[in-house]
Amino acid sequence: MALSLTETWQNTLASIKTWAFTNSPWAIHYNSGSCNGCDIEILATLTPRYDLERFGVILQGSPRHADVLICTGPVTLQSRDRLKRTYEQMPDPKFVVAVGSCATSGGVFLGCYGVVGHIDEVIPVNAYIPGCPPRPEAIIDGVVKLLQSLQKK
Amino acid sequence: MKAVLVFIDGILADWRQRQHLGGMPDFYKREVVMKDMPVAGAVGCMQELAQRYQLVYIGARPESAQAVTEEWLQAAHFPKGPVYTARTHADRLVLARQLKDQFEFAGGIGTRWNDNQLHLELGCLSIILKEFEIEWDTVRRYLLGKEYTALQTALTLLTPWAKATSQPETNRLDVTIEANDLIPAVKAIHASHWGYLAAITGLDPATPAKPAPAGQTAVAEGTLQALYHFCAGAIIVTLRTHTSRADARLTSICGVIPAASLFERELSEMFGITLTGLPHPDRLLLPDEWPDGVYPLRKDFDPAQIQLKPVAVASNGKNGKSGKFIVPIGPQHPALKEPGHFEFEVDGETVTGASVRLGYVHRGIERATEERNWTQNLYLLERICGICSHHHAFAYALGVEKLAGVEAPPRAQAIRELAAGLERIHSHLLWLGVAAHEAGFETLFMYSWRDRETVMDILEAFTGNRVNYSVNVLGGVKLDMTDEIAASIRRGLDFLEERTHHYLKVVTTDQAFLRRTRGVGTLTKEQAEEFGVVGPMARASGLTRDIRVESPYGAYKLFPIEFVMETAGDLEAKFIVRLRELFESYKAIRNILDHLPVGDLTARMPRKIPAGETVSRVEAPRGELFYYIQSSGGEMPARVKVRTPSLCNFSSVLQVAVGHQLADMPMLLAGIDPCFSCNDRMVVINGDETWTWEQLRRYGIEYYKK
Amino acid sequence: MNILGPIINVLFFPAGLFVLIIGLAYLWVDRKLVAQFQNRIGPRWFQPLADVVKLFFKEEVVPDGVDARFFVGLPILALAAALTTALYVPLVGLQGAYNFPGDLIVVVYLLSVVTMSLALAGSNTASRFSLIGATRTLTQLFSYEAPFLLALLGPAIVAHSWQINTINTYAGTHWILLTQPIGFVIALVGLMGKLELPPFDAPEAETEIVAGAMTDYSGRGLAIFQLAKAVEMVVGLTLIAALYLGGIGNPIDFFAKTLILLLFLAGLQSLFTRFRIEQTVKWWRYAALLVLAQWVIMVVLGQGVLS
Repeated sequence: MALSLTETWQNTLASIKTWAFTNSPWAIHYNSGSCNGCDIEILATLTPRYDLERFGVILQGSPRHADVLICTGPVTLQSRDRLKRTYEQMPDPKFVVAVGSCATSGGVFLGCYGVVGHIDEVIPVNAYIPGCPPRPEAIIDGVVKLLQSLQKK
Repeated sequence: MKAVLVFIDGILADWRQRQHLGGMPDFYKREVVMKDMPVAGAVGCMQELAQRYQLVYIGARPESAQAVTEEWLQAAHFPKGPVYTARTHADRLVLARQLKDQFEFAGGIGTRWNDNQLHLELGCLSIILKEFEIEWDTVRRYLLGKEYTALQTALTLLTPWAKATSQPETNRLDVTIEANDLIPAVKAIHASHWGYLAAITGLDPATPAKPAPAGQTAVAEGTLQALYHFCAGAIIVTLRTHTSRADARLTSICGVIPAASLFERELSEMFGITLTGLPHPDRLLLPDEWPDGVYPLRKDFDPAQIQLKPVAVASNGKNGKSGKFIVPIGPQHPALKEPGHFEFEVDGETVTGASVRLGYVHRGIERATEERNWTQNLYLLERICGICSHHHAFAYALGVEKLAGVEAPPRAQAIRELAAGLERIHSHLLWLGVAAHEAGFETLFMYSWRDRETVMDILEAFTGNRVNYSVNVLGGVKLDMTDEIAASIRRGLDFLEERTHHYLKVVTTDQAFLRRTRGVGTLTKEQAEEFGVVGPMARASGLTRDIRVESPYGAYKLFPIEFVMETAGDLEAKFIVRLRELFESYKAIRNILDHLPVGDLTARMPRKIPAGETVSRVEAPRGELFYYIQSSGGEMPARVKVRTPSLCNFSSVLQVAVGHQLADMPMLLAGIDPCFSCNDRMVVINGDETWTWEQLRRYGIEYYKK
Repeated sequence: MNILGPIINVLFFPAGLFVLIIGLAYLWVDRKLVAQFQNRIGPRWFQPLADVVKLFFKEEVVPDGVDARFFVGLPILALAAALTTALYVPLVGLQGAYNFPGDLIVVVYLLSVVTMSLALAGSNTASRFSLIGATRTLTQLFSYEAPFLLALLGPAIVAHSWQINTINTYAGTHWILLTQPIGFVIALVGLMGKLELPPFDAPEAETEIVAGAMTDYSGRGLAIFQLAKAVEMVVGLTLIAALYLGGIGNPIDFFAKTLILLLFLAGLQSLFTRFRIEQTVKWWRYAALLVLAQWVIMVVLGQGVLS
């Protein structure tokens, strides 16, 4: 009896936790070598046409406040450590979304001497959003899919 | 584009070889006419004129000779233009009245007193010259004016040091000088206020030394070149210096032109040229971990050489530097949508010093261009920057077409200008929003981005993508303009024009906003000139710098842009200039849609581009974009050098920052509309340029002593 | 009963759970209104709740070089101070749970404790952004504190009482807004300053110093600070409505008046560009002078007319 009670409690707690996380993903944006194309599209998702705040997404300035790290661009030598550091500053649980072809695969910049590679060579990535650049709708879709995958867990 | 009326007989054609046939029927016989020689210097001068003017040819010949006249002009390589014939002076007067309605004439060139009457009828400048012995310089002086004078002045200035001089294109002067003469030559240009330093290009023309036998180090052979490009209006003067590859060494010109420091750092880091006298010769271009002695743009660079050296992790705490309180902005910072690292040294809320470290987006694109073919590069270069992607491709395509001797068809050129206009609209509205966001005016940010979606929709309907739209191909464009899209563009522009009026009213009348912009970050005309500022930054400070007006390229000759200028130089002026430029873009786009030339979209381009080098400049939304392209005749470029507008503008903001409030910093940075990905494609600039007030003062005093 | 009453008062109603829920709801109304003014749809109704719950589940990072006791304790102090004030104001039109002569002064100072603990939290971290944020918070506190207090004391003078309930009753028959318009405006704007809402958000200006004093807080600390601010907003709005807008006599009064005030706040937030900190200070210097001028007029004329 006691066991099942705690189990119920734990289940309820877990479902509250999932609910809160899926409904309040605060994001932080890091450009590790992008051409700006993805960055302006990410910014566009906040603006009236797309309005990501509908889903509770707020772009935060401090990594300490953020749950989702949105990365754009291939990782350059110079920004590799900064990307890692930003990721490490985020409190758990945390998720990473790679936005754009370069972030997912290196894109046209693959093979350039200043480029280390794609995002998941440096930090683990939870969702990939391809496109050059992906449309704001695609970015929203990617974030929503990430949230849905959390719910299933 | 204005027109020039050119008389054929006696000015272009030396017909004396058929004088003996005068009055006889054979006088205009095809075989005879085709033997006419062009007057000395005529073809060259006409080609120069054609850069600026539409040439209209007129001949005192019977109508029957029209066809042969056209054929002769073409055979002698005169620029294209309509050809008219009228036998008698009275007929020519009648013709002139008709022509007056068709063209706007800037001048006429003739050989007889009554040609003058013709020109009076047209209401234009009349140049009457001696038959067969034309002084072309007179024509140039009056019709090419400033540019011609600029070219001659530069030539005179540089003659004492010139080892070799050539004029590869009508607007370019290439002067080879000894490395030792660099400083006096640069001083001469700078002292006479001839133009500004637009870029420094490094070249490695030598083939790499053969791999040395084991145990010995390979000795590099040959020479490296450094090209100093100075621009004044449409004229580009290139100072070419050589230095030995084994011991590459040049004198820094920072003592003469302080703004050159960023260019020189790039040169030294990428080519391993030691610049003696460079104020901050420390590591500036490449990642912190980059090994010493590896220069990525030398031809013998091998990525395998990159063996990263460990670097102490920068401490996150207070810098021990004499207890100064330093506020870092970036690389991850909400004010920057892109990474760059600024350090502001503050005393309370007041900024006492500023420095910048870029390179977080340094990917190495210039090197990559040399490993991709001409067409692939178009798409690579487009991705230097997502905001001004079209302008990068535009500049590159124009340059490559110039090298190949191919001209894109008029319709393609017009579509390119149209796309450039749309890109400018999207970029300026984006900037308006970001700048408002930096100021903490979220509502303006939201509104301007909402309206920006209109132009994004247009771009998407027209090109299929919202960003990185790939309008260009080499030799033309790949997208046609349909009536349907044209109508939607017109609708969108009407809406945007109305909104732009509103925004202009907001930024000039909203008191709370004006408190953050008026009189803040003022860059005087003198400062702007000294720092070599370009684009809207320069135009907000009263400098007349706009490539579209000064040196019209592509369709800008046909669909010109008016110059927008403010003189205050503060943040408010930067807002006003950018917003007023939007009106110019709306006007130009409507003009293009109304008079879109018909015809092909592409001209055929060769797969291999003939050897040669060229400079291509376009006015991107942020300012002058400078491309230097060199071909060795192969399928890939030998060198593509990109100098982006933000690079010119950075140094100015660091100087202006001192003395301002910390709260103004994001806005000041936004004021230049910095584009880090543009800069860093090749360049990492490390500024340990922490200027204190005293240093700035001293610099100011010393500077004005000169 | 005697023990149960206060416990209920402190934990559930009017302080405690109840005011927290109202606070979150008002936070949502504020965000929604601002979004609407900015032509956006805005967050869903449970958004602030989800944010806070999520933050409670997040990992709490205590940065190196920080006094952990203060780091954890200060947010709690802020929330405690904010919740205490809720006991003295006429929430939902009911009399304050407790009152005594002079409770107005106590409430105003407890509200300042919220700000003070935020500033202390900022100066307790190693981050330079927090430090600047804390400095700015304090600068701003010192500049608006005097005019804000003066503006709230205006009604107290005419009501001849320092007790919120008495003033509230007095205000029920006198719309003090009409006789002391300057005081009202300054009290409202002062509240914006206290809450660090735009355009007085220089202490947490995102583009300059990331998130100001709260830059290094994550998880619980951040959540508690947010709750404290939400409660502070409700209490502040209630105070101003009670003192200036004809008092609060019943729940309809309460919701109508505070929500109208909130509408004004949201409008002001979206209309202006952020003031630089020295501009804010200058603004408040004039505000203080204005309120003083109003006082002088009140004292000279008021003896006969207003009382």
